Amino acid sequence: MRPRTDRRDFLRLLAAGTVAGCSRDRTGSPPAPSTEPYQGKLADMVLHTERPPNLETPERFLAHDLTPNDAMFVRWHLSLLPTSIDSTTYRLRVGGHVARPLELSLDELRARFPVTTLVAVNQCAGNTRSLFSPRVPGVQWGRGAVGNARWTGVRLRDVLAAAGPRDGAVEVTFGGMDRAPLETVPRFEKSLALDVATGEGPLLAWAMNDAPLPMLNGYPLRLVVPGWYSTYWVKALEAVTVLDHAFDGYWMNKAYRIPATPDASEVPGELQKETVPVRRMNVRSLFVHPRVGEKLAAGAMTELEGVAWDSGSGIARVEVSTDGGSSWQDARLERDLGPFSWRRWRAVWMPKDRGPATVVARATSVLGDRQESKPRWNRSGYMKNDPERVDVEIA
Amino acid sequence: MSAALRCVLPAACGVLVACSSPSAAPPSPTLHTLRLPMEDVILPDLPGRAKVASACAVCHTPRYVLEQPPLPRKTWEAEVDKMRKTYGAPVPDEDVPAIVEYLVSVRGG
Repeated sequence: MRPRTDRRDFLRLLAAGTVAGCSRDRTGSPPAPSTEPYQGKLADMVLHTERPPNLETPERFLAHDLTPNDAMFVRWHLSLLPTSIDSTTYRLRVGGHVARPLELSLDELRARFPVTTLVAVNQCAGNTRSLFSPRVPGVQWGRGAVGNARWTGVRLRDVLAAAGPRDGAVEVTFGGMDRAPLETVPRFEKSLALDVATGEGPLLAWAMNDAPLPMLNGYPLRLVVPGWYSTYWVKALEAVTVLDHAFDGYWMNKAYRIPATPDASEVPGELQKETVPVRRMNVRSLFVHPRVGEKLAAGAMTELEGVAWDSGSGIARVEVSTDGGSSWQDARLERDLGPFSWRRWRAVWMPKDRGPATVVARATSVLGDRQESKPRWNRSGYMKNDPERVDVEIA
Repeated sequence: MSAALRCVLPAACGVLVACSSPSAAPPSPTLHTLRLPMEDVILPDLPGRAKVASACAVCHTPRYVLEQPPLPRKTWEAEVDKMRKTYGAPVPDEDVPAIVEYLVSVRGG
């Protein structure tokens, strides 16, 4: 089904000049964001853009095992996102190079295939883009283009098996219902190699934290690819298409690319010629406490606290430093919600000396990958994961 | 010009459709809808603003400009080029220098 949107009305509005007039503000700073909350979202979500909506999770939710649905970040690329969907008439189309093309309702998905649930981190590839130096264009995410949630749905591989990929199938594409006002803008479509799509991980999910997906997070159905950046987690999914050739769509072959270097880094002014699609997440930890610039009392106990995750091997260890990275101690790992979940960690610290201090955290995955202090840079601002350094004041 | 004309429009045109159908039947319980807040963006009043507002705002809020950090001129040139060639933004050749100039004056670095 199609989202109910009307391109002509939109263009008529533009032609009438509604958006062309502006005030005499010369400061160039963004106005205070609208106080009207987004549907199903907290009023203090960080507004990056309204059309399409891009909203960031407030940082305090890094202290939660699961990110509540009303706090989960929102990221759309095309401004005509679905605004009206009937859950009884929605159909997922599964087709292409298959023996039995399918059109599945939500009820049929639930009834025909085993329902499964897992906890997984949903992180935008550009999370913390605003911290790259030199700065790069794009949505200037802080640390809140990430959340952790329990996803419920059916395994993609079961649905693909029902459709029966034919000999020669190599890749599977996933198309969302969102559209751009101009037909010339490529539709949002991502692809996975057939062996990834038929692996155990990917889900066609209708629930986030045991509730239907909010419209802003992809109701009625989204792809969940545990361990992979959420650019693959196509929202408002309408078509799954099996291909017998490599997909050449814009959102794989031009956008969401990283340098083909071992750590996805390149040097400003000497950009790598060869690029590849961004795929699995790297190991990463984020502080929730202390906050930058926080004043801590000398001689009093304080807790260093945060979360860590990788692409699904799990977190083996988180180390913290209170002297800028000269010496390290292990943090305690909290509840394990599964390998694709983030894991909360904490460590106790009693600062002694008054003055400035820098705390640092670095995580190591079960696979043995550790966050390295070498800053990572690339032109698109993806995959940042150097250890966070938080400057505080001991008073 | 008048002091306080703002860039205001519903953040998705689905909202317009909803508003223009007051006589529609009550929504079905199986119907899931999304209503988006109004868009309210003020672009700085510098030369080229009208061109930027009309060329860029077809597809996205002009807040994308204000969202950006200071960027070098050649980065802005590349952005305008990408919007035209890759996404088909309706920008005639002769408007490109004014648009780049505006972007550099607002978020140049």
